[in-house]
Amino acid sequence: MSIFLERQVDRLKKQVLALGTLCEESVRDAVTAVLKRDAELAERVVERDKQIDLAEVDLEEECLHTLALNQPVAFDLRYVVAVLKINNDLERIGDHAKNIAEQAVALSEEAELDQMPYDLRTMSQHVTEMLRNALDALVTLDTEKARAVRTQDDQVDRINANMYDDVIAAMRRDPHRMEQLVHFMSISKQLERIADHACNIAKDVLYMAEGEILRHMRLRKPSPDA
Amino acid sequence: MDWLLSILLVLALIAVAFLTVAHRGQLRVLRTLRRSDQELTAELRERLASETARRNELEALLASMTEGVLAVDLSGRLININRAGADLLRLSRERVLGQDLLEVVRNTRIAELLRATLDDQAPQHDEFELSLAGDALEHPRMIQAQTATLLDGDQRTIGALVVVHDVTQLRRLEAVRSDFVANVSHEVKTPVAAIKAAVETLLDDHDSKMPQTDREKFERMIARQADRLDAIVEDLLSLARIEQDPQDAPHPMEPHQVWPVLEAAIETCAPKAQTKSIQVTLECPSILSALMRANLVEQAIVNLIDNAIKYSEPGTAISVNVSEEQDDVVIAVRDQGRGIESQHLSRVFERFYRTDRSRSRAMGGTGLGLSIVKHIAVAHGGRVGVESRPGLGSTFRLYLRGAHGDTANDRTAPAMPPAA
Repeated sequence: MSIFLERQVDRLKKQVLALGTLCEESVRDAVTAVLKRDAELAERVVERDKQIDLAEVDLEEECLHTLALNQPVAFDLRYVVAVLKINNDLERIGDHAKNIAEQAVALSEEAELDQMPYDLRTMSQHVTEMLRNALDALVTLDTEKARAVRTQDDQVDRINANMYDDVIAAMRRDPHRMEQLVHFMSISKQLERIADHACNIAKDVLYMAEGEILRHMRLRKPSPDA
Repeated sequence: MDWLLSILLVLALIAVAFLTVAHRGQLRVLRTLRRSDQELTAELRERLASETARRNELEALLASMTEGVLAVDLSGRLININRAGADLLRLSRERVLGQDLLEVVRNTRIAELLRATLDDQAPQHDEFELSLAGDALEHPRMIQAQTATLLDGDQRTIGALVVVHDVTQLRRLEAVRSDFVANVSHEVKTPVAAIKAAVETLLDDHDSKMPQTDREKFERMIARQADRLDAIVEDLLSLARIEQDPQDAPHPMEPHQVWPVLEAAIETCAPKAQTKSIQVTLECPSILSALMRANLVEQAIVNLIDNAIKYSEPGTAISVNVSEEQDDVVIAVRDQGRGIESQHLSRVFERFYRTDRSRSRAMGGTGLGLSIVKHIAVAHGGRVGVESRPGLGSTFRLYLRGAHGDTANDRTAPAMPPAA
């Protein structure tokens, strides 16, 4: 591998990690803003989404640059392609975090519910943990962590699936809290989407890591790019 | 032949002498060599030892610091981290050395701080939240970080140094204190102002022209406001006691039967209940135990019953029910009082929150009663809940963690005889 390509891949790694960190913090801050009814924190998340969007464009350009100029092959090609896909997922995660933050602002203006219609705290904890694990897996190419993300997704899906019943029951009990409850319903939906994107990232990491296994196979039957 | 022999002998002698001398010389050279070799080794060993000692000293110095110290090179790779730093960030020292800092600690603020330090070549300072794996979302740590550039012998920048300090506890205490000061000054000022006004009026009456009845009115007012002040101070003191760290608490939590505690609480409230002829009933499985500091839970229940009495019409009933919900023991205090409007429900546990300021003051509340209940619940790892229908009554619930082992039995004790 040429030294330029090596440097370029290193750069991509740094950039995707910086974007990942931004998204991770946005999700965490957004759900915290809901839980703590902190409109100010929520506004910061909404503001940060612009930064995320710009970072996504930069990273995509950098990836295309690498593909065009360095023409990577084998693992490096897999890496660049995976980063391109992860980039997309991260940007979507940023958008969902922004949506949650907007709900948090709206909710902070309404009266507080004595009880969340479903276990938002546990759900948020799962989702933030999934995102953390997915990014950890990306850093260390740890396939075990990547697989853990996919099992955690089942738990989030379960909470989200039960959420409808819980929210509808809460609406029946307390019809004049309809507005807040609709916001909570949307938040659950957004969290579920974030969890799915975290899953996608984990899948891409598995694909990269599996690429490494393929490379070992190629070592046995050398090809020009090995 | 003889001369030849003697010549040979002489030659042999000379040769022997020469060889001896040469050997001696060699030996001397060898000895010198060996000596210098030994000296060198000793010197090296000494130097190595002092070098090691110095390194150990530095390592020890770093290791014994309570602040976390991280050093990164120009490309952002971690070149050193001390034990406190690794502990604070929950990292394994060996694993993270040589990795990019962002790979190790995913936090934009640290990254920005380092970038600013290297760009401006100047020390930076920041304070931010950091959430690590396993931390609860709402309770991130507050981290204070200071940075400086790392210089080599030629004063060239070779990286940056970050010193991190966990200030979570400190910030929490500061927040508690500022809230406290704001509320207390307001609540204490009211009775003090009333007392001051009454005393001034009495003092102004130099020639004792004031009728005895008026004088007594002012004196009673002073007594009443002094009682109020006393109650506030008393409540504040108990709040302070509850807020103590559980580890420092004089009485640790232990499994305790629930019903004797409740019975004691009802006993305490009996005189007040009697004056309004309110019946307080208790229904509690006698075998139920919870993890608790009994005196605190008793105080919480006293506060709840006391409130219930305060807001109930004479002749109504108050019931205390205990049940189990999964792992929790739930104590419910239900009254038939005037209830609480729904917009206030979520806030009634806040310190000094009142649904109706003038009215609840007239009732003699300090504004801290329910807050104390909530703090007691939290100190037990539990929570509080309230349900209310205006005009029909309220139910306050205290959730405690059940003590396992003997909670399976659901035998119900006979309802306690009414306390009033």
